[in-house]
Amino acid sequence: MIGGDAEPSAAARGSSAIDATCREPGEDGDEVAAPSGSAWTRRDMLRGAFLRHLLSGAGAGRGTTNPGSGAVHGEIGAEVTRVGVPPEAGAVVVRYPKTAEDVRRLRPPGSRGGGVIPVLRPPGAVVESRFLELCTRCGDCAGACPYSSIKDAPGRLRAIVGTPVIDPISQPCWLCTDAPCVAACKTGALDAKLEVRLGTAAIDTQTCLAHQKGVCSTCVERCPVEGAILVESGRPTVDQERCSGCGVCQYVCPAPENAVLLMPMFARPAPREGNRRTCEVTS
Amino acid sequence: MNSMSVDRRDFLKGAAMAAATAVAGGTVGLPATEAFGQEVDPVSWQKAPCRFCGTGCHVLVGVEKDRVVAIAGDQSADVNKGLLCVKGYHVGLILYGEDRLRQPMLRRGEKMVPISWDEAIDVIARRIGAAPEKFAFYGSGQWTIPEGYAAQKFMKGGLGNNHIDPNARLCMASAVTGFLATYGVDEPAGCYEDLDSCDVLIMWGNNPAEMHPVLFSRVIDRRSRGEEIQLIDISTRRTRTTDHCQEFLEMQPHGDVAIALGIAHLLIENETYARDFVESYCAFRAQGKEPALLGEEISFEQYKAAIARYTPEYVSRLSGVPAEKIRMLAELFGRRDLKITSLWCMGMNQHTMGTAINCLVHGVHLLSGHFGRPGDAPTSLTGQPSACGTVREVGTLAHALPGGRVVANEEHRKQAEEIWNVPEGRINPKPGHHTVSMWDQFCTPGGDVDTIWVQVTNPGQTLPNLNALFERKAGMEDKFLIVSEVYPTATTSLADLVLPAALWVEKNGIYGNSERRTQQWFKMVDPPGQARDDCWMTIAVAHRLFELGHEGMKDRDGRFLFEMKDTNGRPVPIWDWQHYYDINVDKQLFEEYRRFTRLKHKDLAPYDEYVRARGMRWPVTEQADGSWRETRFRFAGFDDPYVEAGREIQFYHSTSKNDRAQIWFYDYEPPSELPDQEFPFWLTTGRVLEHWHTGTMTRRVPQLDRAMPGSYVEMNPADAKELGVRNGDLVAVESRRGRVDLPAWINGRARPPRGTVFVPFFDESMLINRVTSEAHDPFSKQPDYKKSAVKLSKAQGNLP
Repeated sequence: MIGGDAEPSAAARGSSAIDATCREPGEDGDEVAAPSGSAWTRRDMLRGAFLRHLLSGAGAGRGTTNPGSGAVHGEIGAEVTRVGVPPEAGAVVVRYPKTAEDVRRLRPPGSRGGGVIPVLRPPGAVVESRFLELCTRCGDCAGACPYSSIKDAPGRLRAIVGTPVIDPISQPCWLCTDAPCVAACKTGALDAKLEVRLGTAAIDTQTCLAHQKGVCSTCVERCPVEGAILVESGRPTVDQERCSGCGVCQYVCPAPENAVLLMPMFARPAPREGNRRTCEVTS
Repeated sequence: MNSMSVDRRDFLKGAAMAAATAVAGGTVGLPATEAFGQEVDPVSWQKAPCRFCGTGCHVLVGVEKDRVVAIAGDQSADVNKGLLCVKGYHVGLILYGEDRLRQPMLRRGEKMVPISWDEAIDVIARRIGAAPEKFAFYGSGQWTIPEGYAAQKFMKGGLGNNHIDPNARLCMASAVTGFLATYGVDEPAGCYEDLDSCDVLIMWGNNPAEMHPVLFSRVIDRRSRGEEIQLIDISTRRTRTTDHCQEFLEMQPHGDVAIALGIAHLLIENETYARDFVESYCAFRAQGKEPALLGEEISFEQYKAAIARYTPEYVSRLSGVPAEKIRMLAELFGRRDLKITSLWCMGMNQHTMGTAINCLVHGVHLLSGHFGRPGDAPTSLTGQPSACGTVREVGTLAHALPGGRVVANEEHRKQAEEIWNVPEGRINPKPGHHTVSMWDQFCTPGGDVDTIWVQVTNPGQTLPNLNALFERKAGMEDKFLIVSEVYPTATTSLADLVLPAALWVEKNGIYGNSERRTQQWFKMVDPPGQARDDCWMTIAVAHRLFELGHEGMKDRDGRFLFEMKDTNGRPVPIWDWQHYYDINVDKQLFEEYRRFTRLKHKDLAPYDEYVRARGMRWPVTEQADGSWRETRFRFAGFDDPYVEAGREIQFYHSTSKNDRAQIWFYDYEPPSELPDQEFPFWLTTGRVLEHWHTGTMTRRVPQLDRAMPGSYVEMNPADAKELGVRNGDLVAVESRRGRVDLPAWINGRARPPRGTVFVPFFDESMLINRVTSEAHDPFSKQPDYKKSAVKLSKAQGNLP
């Protein structure tokens, strides 16, 4: 999700992908299909298959990408990691941000900026196509957020510039019980009657310290939804039915490589009858 | 595109990678082709021990353009075998907090004004010169060995002043007295390899899952490989360690003393003690009429009679632990076929009966014969990276001299004066002020101490009863506080002179970890601004005093106390910062210090051996072929070169001079303060996984700060309900000494029983040490931070 421009060349390639993301799934009938018509499981999506596909560019159709196969790039990855690293180095080699600014903003080396692909919307956001119709980019929800979690989508995101997004690595949604952002929304883009589900988190067992012989319990302790993170033998997993996608776990994760994957909701519920005007329900 | 080597999964996680690692980390920012080695990686790598706890993990530090840009665990290090804890992975970022101190600052009225180093050094030298006997040096177990050694020589060999004490007094002094009283010589006999072979691991008031996670992982890893290991947690609350234990003995604070006595009683009662081991290698001790560290000899019969009343039922009443659990422990200790390792740290050391409980646990191991085989060991852990190396071995304590010597011993003084080449009689035979006493004097108008120089520690946050022992200093005209620091802290807030210090790999260093392992590293990057080495500061002040004509700064031949020469024999003006790194000052100090280490068989190898190794455990002895061999198991004939040939066990520093270790009897005494009607709760304090000690370093690492942003009071749900407190509500914790308001955390990381609350001490915005007590152990002088009586009330207002 928050990938941003992890590297210059990728950023250039990424822009078209981002455009695609920001359109409603299925809208153009292109390869960015809704889950119902997709070959990917929800889990694949969480693991990044979706985005990997997007980023792999026009030439790579769904058939050429093998979602969920980690083996090949895992090997390559291992190779790459060791370049320039002494043989004694342990499995985890932590590369630090090289400027004070990047240290503060928890940016990885070489990255240039934040951003959200696809985007995490504030609580109560209606289905994306409808949301984009209803949202006037007035900033009321962002102004109401006591934690400044809600930000305007940056210019790079083109079609959705100025719409409210949440970037959990800078500030997650803390799930206020009174949801002031939703209350502040006058257009119905945020709907108080909808279940609060921004997305779904998953723990990457390859990078989670508790899964990698270490000791850590931060995510489960700080998770605001009771029972959403389960712990067995000290190792956390996310109950994806309960997870609200607020991103607190990602925000607090102290692993050298953040171990929380967070996928925004693809198919959010449509606004309820009363609010509905001309909404194409896509899922 | 598909040929791109960058793992897309990692790309997806992009900014989420806090400090990117592994796959993405190595390549992000580089075109893919370069990542495959066509260009030389600009990062250069060197070894260093981690800056944080006493475990002593080795890290590999990647440096590019004078900046630490990468960290990896070191697989060639025995201690951690490539693994690090959450703090360790981020250790490089402690150098780069935005508020690093960069300039010496002097208090002028209300303001701190920048001054030059020359002026700062002169101010200190003149202040000391005016009243050298009222000057005190307060250091720490984070001093490198050369730093501590220089401070020690400056004070005791130069000023003839013994007011030098470390924060380790607050940390492991009771472990020292326990080892001394039992074996006649300090530090554990075993090593971390005991963790690889023990069948039973008993943690006495110890929470290694959070405090020594790499060691704990080492144990848990054995279990995941299918090995059977029984973990037993004896603690005042359920912790993350408890989650992994088969047995949890929830004791009342102070109950450990009774439990150890109860085990010993049953071993004798059931005749399951190791008769052969005891008859061959042990003697018995207890306190006589005049309490003394070494006590008086008693017979086995006397011991047996004294311990007879510690029946499981009586122990259960004292400790709150069910009698059958005491029997369970005694049964385990009664089995020689099992290998049992005990671990402890602050729970047993920060204790008004700290020396006693340390002795008693050693006693249980000796009495049961669980000693001297790999896996059979009583082992204390340390919280600081060089509590052992610098404090205990260099002896930066008010009563000690290097290499296990003490100032009160004339022979020891003579030896030190000889090595330091200072006139006979220079060293003062009277021990100086220990920590609590030093700060009490400093905070008393007209007290014995009017100037304290603090290096590498933060007493403004860690001293007990802060209102009395630190904050009282505010506004006292005749007191002068000098603080060498890397960041603004609770201590610098009352400082009169703040000196910016180099940190970790910004300087050369040597540490000594919990298992007697001495570890060396080189300077890798320059410190920021005008920050300089602590050791340089000490030498520069000594030289300024020398220039001002202070006799103490001259040796017998009238030369400067810290005179050093280069390889051509030319003196190098190391007091001039421009020339400090012309030679390796660390190496010269270390080689001089080595001469002290033979007396107590703590032999160290030459400096260059440590450059090559990932640390070596002393005694390190030279072999016939010129190589150097470390010792893993002391006093054991199969490994310790100082055990006479053919002997299985030999306690060659025995206090009874007969090669026997002492099995102590101590009677249970209640803590200094018990909950009562007015103050009905126990307060215990401690650390958390994410932050190291006062958090001055770890709280400046964004990932760690986010993971654990602030302090809290951990409460039992029933107590919280009774007070009408919900999670996050502000609770006032108040003792006879002070009050602090903290948010409640119920069913959080750990779960205290009813009547007990726990507060971590890392957060300088909520100083729990305003509440704790300075009551301390009579021998070790170590305060008991684990037992204060407090009252709780729901507080008004918002979180700070």
